[in-house]
Amino acid sequence: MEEVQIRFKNGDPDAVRTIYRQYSGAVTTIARSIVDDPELANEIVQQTFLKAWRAASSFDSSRELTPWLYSIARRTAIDAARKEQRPTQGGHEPETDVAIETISFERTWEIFEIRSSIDALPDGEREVIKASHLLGLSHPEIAERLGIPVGTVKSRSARAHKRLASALGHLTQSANHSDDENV
Amino acid sequence: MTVSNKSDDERNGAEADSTDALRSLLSDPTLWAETDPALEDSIVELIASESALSSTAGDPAVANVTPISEARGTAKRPRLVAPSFLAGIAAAVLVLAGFAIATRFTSRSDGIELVLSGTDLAPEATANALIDEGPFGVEITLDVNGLPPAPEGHYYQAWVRKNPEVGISIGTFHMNGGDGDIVLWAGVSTDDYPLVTVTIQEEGAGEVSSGIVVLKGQIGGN
Repeated sequence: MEEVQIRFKNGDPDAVRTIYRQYSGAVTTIARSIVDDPELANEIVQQTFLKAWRAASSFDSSRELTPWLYSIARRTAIDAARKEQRPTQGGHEPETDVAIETISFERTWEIFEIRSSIDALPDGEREVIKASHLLGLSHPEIAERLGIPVGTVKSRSARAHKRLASALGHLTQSANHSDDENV
Repeated sequence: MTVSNKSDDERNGAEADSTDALRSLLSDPTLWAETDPALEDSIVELIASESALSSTAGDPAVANVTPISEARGTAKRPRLVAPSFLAGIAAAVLVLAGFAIATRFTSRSDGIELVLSGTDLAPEATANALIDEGPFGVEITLDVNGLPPAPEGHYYQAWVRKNPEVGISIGTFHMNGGDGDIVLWAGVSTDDYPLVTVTIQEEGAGEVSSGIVVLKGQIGGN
């Protein structure tokens, strides 16, 4: 990965695509968690990767890329949200104080991690997880939708959940502890 | 036997809790937002274009030039750039390189940059300050990171100072929206007021600095 980061810094198109494909989903998720407009979210994604490339020379490639890229994405999204809400012409109320209410740093990081883990799943497993959790389909319904046997759906689902539980265990444990504190 | 069954029950319960928590995390529709398929090629070509400009121009000013859409003051909502327009954008950037546009902002003169460091009260906080002197005053943009929202009943205030005793306020802010840029204004020259500080102030306590400094920096001193 360090080699890819060095090539990314040099503008190597293949490295840019590699980094983009690994993180575009998570960056999109951050953008959509802060702005509602899909078009603005796409622009945020574009600006995030451009800014990351421009700042790559100052990035220590021995460090983790994920938190660094996450912080660029979040700031870019917040900046875009502020610019969209800032009055640009007359006719607005005097002394309007435009407050941008964004979700917390911790919550957006959590979202970034989850989406990154989902994108890291093999395609077949990710399809099953998406159909199960986003669409709320049962295993037989997923099997019919994807054109695969129910047994395959079950095994892919089990593997995917195991991978996600391993990658996101710290988040599920935090959720459980929060519930305990509220009892 | 009883102990082992109890352990199995506890493990099954923990797994069930974990599965339920995971299910809760994965059900958020935002997590599944799709990216525009056209973005990948657009980004690759934009980067290739800027990279080519940086390497062929051979001028550090060109390498640091920011495209027009990023310049503060003329900021328009950036649009997705179709590859067919890239040649025109590249030419425009090359022409503007000779005017030394400061990174991220339009400037009426070359901007001064300095870094503010967090004090013991805010050790994680940093701020990059860009100081532009213009016809209306001195615009000071703080790119603040790691400074938490001001506690209830308090706010942050920025100052430019001749020395620790003599200073002028350049604005107040709260950081409730998280890290980002804060634009402040000074009616005095930073040549005479080279210290830049941020204090935390209590509402209703008056205009005088509390002396509780959270960020500080000095032009020419970093």
